[in-house]
Amino acid sequence: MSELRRKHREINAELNLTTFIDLLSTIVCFLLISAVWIQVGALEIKQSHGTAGASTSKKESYELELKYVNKKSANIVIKRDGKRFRRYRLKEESPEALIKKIDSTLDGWMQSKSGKRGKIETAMITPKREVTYGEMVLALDALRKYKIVNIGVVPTKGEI
Amino acid sequence: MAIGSSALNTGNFEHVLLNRNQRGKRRGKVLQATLMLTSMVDMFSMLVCFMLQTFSSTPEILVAKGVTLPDSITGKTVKEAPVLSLNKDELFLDQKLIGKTAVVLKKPDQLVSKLIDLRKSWVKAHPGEAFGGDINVQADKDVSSVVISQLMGIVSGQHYSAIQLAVLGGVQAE
Repeated sequence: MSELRRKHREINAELNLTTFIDLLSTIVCFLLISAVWIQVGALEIKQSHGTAGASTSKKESYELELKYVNKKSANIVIKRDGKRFRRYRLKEESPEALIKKIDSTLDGWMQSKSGKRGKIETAMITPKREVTYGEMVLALDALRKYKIVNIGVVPTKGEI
Repeated sequence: MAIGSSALNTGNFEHVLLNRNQRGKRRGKVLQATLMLTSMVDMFSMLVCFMLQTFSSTPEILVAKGVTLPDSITGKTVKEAPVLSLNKDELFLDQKLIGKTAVVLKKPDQLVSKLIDLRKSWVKAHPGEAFGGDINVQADKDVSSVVISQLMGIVSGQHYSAIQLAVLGGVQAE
């Protein structure tokens, strides 16, 4: 009898993990289903250049035009009050080198006196048939790196 | 009262030892049957923590088949809007085929009418709100930039002036 009583008094110290594991597996399943595996971002293009792209700050404002000549060369024109202020002709060995040149040209402009005094408010890109969309996005990236937010693309005519 | 054989051999020390040994073996077998859940629970908890950290509630747009998006370092979070997909030779609006790109660019009537319908349904669904003009464009990175610029011209002509170009990576908080 005394042995039986002793057995009844024994405390079961084990934790019941069943519900905990159930909950964890449910959460893992839900998160696996709702997980985003490919991070898709967006580059905003504002096509209403003529009306909405007007300057709002008191700082001197400039407009930038990036005109592709072909895959490896482009012209950058910086305008002030609609008039040509500066022009850069860029010609490189490869499209990748051209993007780097665009980047360094913009960097040079930002470091110049005019660049420090004013701000490029709007930018327009004029594409060419041989320039791919991927290369145009790289050029857009280069412009956005210098905080140029109002970027538009000129709808060009030409054979596809 | 029946006397069992074990009761008859109580004085035999060998038997007692043998019985004890057998009991010990039985106990050992029972111990082996228990599952060690600690590592599994640890792994589950770590998985849940990692996935909760990477969880995002931003809208996700489906990338159409045959479209390789270009890479970017200045991309921002995607907004919910109609999706215009463009692979190497076909054009889709919200995953519905519009036609061959070259044909659509020459005669954009079908695309224009669908864009107008989408705008009207948006205005109906959001009474009193100004139309934002958001549209997502996802195009293959090898498509000519002129095609994209012409499409942008058509789209912006229908009051879709905030064009979001879908890119891979570089998602920054606004």
